[in-house]
Amino acid sequence: MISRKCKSVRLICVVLTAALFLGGCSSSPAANKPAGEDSASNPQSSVLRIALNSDIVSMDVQKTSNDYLVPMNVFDTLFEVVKHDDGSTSIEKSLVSDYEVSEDGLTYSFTLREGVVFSDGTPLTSEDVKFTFERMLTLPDSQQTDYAVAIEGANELMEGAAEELTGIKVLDDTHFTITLSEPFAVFLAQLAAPSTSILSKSIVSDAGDDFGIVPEKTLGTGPYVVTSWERGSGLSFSYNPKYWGDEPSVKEVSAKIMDASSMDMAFQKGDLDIIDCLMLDSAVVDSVYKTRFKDNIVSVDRLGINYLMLNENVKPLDDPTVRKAIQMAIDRQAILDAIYSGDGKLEDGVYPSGCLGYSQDNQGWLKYDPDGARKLLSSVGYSEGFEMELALDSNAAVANQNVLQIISQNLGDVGINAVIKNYDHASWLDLRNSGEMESFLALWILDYNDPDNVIYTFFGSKDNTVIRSNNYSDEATIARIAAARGIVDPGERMKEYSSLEKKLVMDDAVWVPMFSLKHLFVKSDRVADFVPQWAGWSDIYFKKVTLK
Amino acid sequence: MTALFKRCLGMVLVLLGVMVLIFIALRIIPGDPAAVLLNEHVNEATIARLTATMNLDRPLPEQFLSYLGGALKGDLGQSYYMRQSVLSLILTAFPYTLKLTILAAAFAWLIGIATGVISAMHHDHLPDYLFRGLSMFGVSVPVFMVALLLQYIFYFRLSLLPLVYDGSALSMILPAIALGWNSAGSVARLTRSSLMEQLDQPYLDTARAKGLLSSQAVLIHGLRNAMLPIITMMALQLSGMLSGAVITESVFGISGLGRLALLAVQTRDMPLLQGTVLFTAFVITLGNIIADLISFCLDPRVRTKK
Amino acid sequence: MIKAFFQNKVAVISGAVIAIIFFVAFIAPFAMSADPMRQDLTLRLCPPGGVHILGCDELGRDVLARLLAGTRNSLLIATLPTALAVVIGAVLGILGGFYGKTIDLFITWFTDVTLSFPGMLLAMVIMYTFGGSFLSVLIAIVFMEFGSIARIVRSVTVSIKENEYIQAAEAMGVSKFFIIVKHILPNLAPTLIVLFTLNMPNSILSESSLSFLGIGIQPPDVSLGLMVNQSKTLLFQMPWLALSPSVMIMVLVMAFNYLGDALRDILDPKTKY
Repeated sequence: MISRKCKSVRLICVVLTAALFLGGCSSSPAANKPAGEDSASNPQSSVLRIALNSDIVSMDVQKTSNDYLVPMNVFDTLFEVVKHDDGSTSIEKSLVSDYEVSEDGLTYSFTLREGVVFSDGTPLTSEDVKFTFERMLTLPDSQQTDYAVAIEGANELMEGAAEELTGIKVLDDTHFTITLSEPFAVFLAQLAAPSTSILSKSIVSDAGDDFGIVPEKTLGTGPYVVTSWERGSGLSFSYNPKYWGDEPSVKEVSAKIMDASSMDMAFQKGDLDIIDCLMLDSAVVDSVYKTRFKDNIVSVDRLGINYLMLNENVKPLDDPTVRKAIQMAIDRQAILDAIYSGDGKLEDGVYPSGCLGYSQDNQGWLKYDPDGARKLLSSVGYSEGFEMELALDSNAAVANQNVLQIISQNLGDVGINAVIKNYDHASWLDLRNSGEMESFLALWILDYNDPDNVIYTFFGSKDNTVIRSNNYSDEATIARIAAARGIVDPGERMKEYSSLEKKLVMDDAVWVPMFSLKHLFVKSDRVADFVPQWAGWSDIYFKKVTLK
Repeated sequence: MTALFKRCLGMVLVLLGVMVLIFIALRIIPGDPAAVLLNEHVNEATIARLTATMNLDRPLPEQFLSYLGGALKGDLGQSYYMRQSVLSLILTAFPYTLKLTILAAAFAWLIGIATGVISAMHHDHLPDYLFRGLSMFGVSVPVFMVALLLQYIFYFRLSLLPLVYDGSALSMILPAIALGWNSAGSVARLTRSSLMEQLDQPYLDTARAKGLLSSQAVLIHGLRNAMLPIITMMALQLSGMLSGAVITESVFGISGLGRLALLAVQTRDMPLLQGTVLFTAFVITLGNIIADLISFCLDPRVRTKK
Repeated sequence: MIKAFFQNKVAVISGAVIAIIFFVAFIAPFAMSADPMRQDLTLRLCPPGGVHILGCDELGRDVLARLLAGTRNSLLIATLPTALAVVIGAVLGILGGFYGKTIDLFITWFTDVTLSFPGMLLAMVIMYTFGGSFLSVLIAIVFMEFGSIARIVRSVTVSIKENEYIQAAEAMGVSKFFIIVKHILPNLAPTLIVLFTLNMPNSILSESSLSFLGIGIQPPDVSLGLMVNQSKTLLFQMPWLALSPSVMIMVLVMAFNYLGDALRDILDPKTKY
């Protein structure tokens, strides 16, 4: 017996040693070098490494309204937004070298920049611009029709009554005109949004279904090309040597998809160059990034508003007094402090700070006052409170879930039994678009810097009030919002927007404005300079990063 | 041969059942996929246009037949969300999952059998207690915890291995260990129990007593007979591993099948989920047949039975 | 048999651990003053110690109270579907094993179909259809487990059926229903008990995995897996948040595994599964 055991032990030892040896062999190259040797620790000086929290859906800008990383870096728009040192923004020429607007504000004449080519060498022509807008309107699952509907003939083209977009006239390769069906003050701002990225007619037609899917076939005029896109894993980019503008400092980009804790670890280990704090837990940001990395923080005020929407079609939310009570019952400062460690400011209106038309007159009036809220409720017969539903999108960030739980408790404190109900993302959208969602928490970040982008989207037409599930019923005000788009005098227009804002939030209490956030990024020591996107999006322009 | 033929026929029937089941399960509640596609910038006309192009307005049996016909030709439809052929998405993702699963199985086997054998040899002694405790720990700890801990230890603390999958072989080590962990535990437990059973068989005792076999030969003999249940279990573990792959892939950023399925659920991409599940069911059924074949070759008893 | 149970140290210890956890988790709401849902933002992320023995979470809720509520929910989400899966599996297995022929063929086919899905993917299909909630996690677990139970019950039934006294009873024209109730079920009982115990850990792990992926139990509900999911971003800064639910999951799973092994040795030493 004894000898049997001894021998067998020897055998096992041999097996195990062999196993360990093999294991040792395979890991020994890594043992004395830091992790991620290949690309990470010793990165070439021109590679930028960033992290994304989820994969993109499509590289085709007309098929997504969320994923602007590729459009922003691989494509160009006719105009671009430039943010100045004082925080103001202006619209500057990009692919356009010159333009004129007719007296009546209807016809825009453009001259394209000379010598611009797509990354395969195809020259950019006026035909491409016309093609871009026609495709925007005719693609079955286009996400960007809003950006072309102002053009004359858009509806006819969408409905199939016309073959082409009559509002765009191509004069020659570099000259074209766009005619609008009625004056639209923010048209140029729309032409600066990544949504209106200019595509090549021949490249898109040749690629067919592969456009936006296959990197080699998704080519633009922008500073970078996508070199690979691995689903669920990440994207890589490299500099487009045919780019018409200045050569950027970053020559290659690797964007990896990671969850929050991985990002945190990777940045701390020096394997990431820029980390987006809104993708991390604010407690981590406080304890790690605001202490150890405080000199590396790059902050931008996000031009976006978090809001709680209330549906007027649901009793008793149809009563403005009840809605006012809800506005007063929520402790917004406590939420901002607890969930976002105070990095932001309370908003009392419709337009976030930094947005054109933001008016100090409409701020500072909304105070946390649970007693007042209770009084208001009992004045309209709800001293016993009532039941309501807060809809939660399961895909929403953890922070959002937490905010909603605090709101639920705040409302509970004034006697409103607000039950959080979970919906998966699709059902949530479905319910919201049908106009039947009772109340929900969401965020709107500006696509272009104009009050119209918020107020028209939410309250500008009967359809929009349904799709945003507020069912705002004052038709006179809705008509005024639609009409404001056409006011030619800028001063007059802003005055009108300010008065509309007061009417909506103070008088009618259509929603509970919450806050706008500071968007913090942290850069590694390899990054000399980094300017986030003007509205504080998570997607960044690689060309605005300078490496040491 | 007839047994094999029957098995294949059975497989076809099972796959058909799988298809019907998924098809029904995914359509009990009619959703509006068009709503997901049109995220923020919605308008009624676009929704209607999209619904029509996706054939969502046809009756269910008709949809099933056309799906079945497509599947036979290798066409699993078009992903709603990614707007690409489901099959091509699956075929790009599968190699990652396959690689991960094979490495994880190798890990589970190496560790599992080694510790199981040691346990059995030292039955009721210290190494046995130690390894039994470890293997119980192995089967009891959730995959996600193993994954997070491995990342913390081997990347963050020791700087030995990459954090997430980056295409290199090294970056596959942690995911393979995380995924193989549970299986290693159960392989160890099974190896121990079935080897102990074999070693107790009278014929081996006799052989040993008569000096016909050396102790090593006894071990090898016993192990070979003990392998049979382990191989059967391997086929069952394939299914468990593909389950675990969902979590492992999502923690380590590997763009495999599991991640694809998770994405399909999160984005309510019915054709993609349907295709992924069908494909994995196919792989598992195939795995079962292979396991059958192996035990058929390995064990004379199984061979003579049919 | 009861004597054998008390003589088996492993069985007694693991059984006691499970009993204590059950007792504490279900008695807690009556005995504890802390409300698992009550937020106090001033106590946000306070470390363990003092009144809040296990600290507070991101919304300043008492972690201990949440741990107990989560344990209670996770146990419910594991026990109910496991029991249901055993019942369904037993019915299918007995029908298949006892009646044979077409019924058997059909049932075997059906269990084969459910077994050819990887459990997690099957669960994901159910999550897709019903969304993340208590009920859908419950349904998912039932579907993940009843197939293999039915398969084992079927084979055990076949072997019981081969007993002479049952064949005799059948020959005498005793009704099949009577034979099942009177002879098959009592003989199956130990197997079913063991199957239940051995499937419990799988159920607990399935719930926690689904919730970890964010497609299982959804906030503001609470479960062990969800607690880990919600604290995973703070894993390295505030490890105590994830630690207690993780440990609880492991203790429960290990206890059930040990108990199941021990019960199998005591009740059903011959069969292997």
